[in-house]
Amino acid sequence: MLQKKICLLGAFSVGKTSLIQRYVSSLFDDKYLTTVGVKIDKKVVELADQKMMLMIWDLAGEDDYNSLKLNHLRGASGYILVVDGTRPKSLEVALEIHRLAQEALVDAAFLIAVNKADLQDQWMLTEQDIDGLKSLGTVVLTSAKSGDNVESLFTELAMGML
Amino acid sequence: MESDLNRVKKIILGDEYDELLKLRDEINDDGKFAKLVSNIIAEALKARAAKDDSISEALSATIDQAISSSINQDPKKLAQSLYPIMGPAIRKSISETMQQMLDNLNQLLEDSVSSQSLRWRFDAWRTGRPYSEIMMLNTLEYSVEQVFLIHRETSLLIHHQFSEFADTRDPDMVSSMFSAIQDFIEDSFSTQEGDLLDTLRLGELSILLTRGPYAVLAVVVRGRIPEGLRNSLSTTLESLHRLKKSELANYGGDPDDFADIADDLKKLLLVQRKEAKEKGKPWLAMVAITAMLSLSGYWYYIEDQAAQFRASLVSLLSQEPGLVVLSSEFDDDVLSITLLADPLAKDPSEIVDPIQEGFTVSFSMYSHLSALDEIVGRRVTSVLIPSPQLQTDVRDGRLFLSGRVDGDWLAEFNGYWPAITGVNAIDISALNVFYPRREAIAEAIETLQSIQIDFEKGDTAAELDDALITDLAAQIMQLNAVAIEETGRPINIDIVGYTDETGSEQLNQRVGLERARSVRTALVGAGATSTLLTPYSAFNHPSYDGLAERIVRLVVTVESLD
Repeated sequence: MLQKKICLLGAFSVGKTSLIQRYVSSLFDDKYLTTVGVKIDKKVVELADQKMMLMIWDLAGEDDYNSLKLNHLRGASGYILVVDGTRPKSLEVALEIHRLAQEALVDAAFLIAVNKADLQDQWMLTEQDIDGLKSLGTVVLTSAKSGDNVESLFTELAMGML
Repeated sequence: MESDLNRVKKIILGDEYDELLKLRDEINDDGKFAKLVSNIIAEALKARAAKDDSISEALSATIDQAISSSINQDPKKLAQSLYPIMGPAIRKSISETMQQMLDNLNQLLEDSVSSQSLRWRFDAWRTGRPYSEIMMLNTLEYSVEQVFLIHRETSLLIHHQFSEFADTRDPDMVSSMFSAIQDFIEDSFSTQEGDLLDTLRLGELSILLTRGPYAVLAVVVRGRIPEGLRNSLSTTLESLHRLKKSELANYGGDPDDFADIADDLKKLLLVQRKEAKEKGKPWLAMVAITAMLSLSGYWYYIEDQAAQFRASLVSLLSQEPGLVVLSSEFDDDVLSITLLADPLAKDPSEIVDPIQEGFTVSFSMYSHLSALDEIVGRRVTSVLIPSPQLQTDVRDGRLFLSGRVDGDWLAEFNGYWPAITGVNAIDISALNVFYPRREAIAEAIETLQSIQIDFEKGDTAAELDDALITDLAAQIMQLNAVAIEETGRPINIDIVGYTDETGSEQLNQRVGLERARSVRTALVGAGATSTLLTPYSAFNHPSYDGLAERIVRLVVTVESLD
């Protein structure tokens, strides 16, 4: 089975960990995130003619993007940029992280997940913000709470890495 | 003009002129000339190198410069190229250093007196092996449980091997986490650029990390890390880099590309058990077993001794006439024997004494009368009135008497032998019985009857010898006494008087009677009882045989004497 390393990136408290919690195999406790700064989970996605094992590096989110450990990005074939729809600050951080990731990773597939889709009435992002994101790449509106689009988020990224 | 000259040259040289021009053109044109030389440059260098060292000398400066420029530009590139050859060289140097360090350590340990070293020292003494060897034996104890080949760039697990003892959980996640933790530790604690984490330890588990340019080999070792394992890891990793260089360099996440390296990694799953300890002699158990065997052996020996003693004693007692063993059993150390014993049998304690070996024997005896010939014989002897020339023998309950006994003894014996228990019959066919009084009587009779008392011619009152008469009288009275004792009746003595042929028969009858009467009177006078003595004339006596001599003879009759 093909294996790929992907990273979950985003500002602090955008719901990265919640996003994957219900959909992945975990061996390590969440406390790794705060101690080691990264937690690794695994998800097998089924594509049309094959399966792919995603090693998901859930990187601790920081609102200070400068503290992003680029080491952890090394070798990733793709990444998911997570933005919290209710926090414009998270968009700012995400864009900066994206810039850093693009520098560090060549030819890496990526998706933008705008999380907390269940709280759309509380969203602080403007249409322009969303359009700006769409100009960068595929944007998926997800909800860790309802699970909406979470499966497809990984499947789509997997297809992008083939 | 020029062209005319060329035309003339062409006429003279023909087609060769064009070739010459082409050659000049190729030499003058750098690009073309380089191409021309490139065709033969390798061969030319080879040919020259075979001749002398000038090429090496000429090139060395250039190569030095090229290398240093390469290092300046990108040191990684050269390091990656040198990696396969640098590894072994560095390892060799390190292993020599390590060996020296180990020797020093050994010396240090030899001088130390920890409890463990004392134990090892004891083991060394016990097994006759050098101390350092024992120490190594005790330290070389490990199990390589898991081997991870991890792609360095992506942290993806390329291959995983594990032993049957390993506790494996999601090795792919673990391998990624390895990398994350390495990064974390190196980021957090590294003091110098390039310091790399090479060992993680948790209790008795160690994780050794060996890095190549493209892959990391991580092994999980339980127990002490064996010397040489790092070498094996490096060698394996180097060989993988050699064999799978392009696959590693361009790893796309498909582990199937590395399915064929399974055996190489499996070889690293070494297990070295602490055999010395496990297979060591179980002294405690041996001592315990020996003690148990000794105890049970001793117990068995004692039991056996006791059983043998009892058997031999019972056998001896049973062989002894007059003793019948009813039961025998040990009560603690005392052997209790119950038996029937004839009063005439040997005392059993006399039989035990000589063979007694630390055992105490107590006898309970019930008396009985044995019918065994030997005991009956003793019984006969004990009750028999002794007689000097008598021999006795008991066979099958019959008492055989032999030798010589007097009649009185036999008569008495006949009276009491049926009362002797065990004697059912007697046999006296070999017994010579004698009767002393009768013999004395017969002898006395013979003596008395041989005596003749002479008379002178015509004389009736003889001049009798007093001494003779007194002696005769005494003899008669003694005989009478013996005869009464023997028969209960007194004797009769006929005193028969004889005459010569002269004179008439009538006269002679009277003379003979007178002569008899005179002797009788003399005897009575000497003390003989008169009633025993009857005077006869020979003519009137039944014993008369015509003898014509002037004598008196005595004819003695003892009644009831055959």
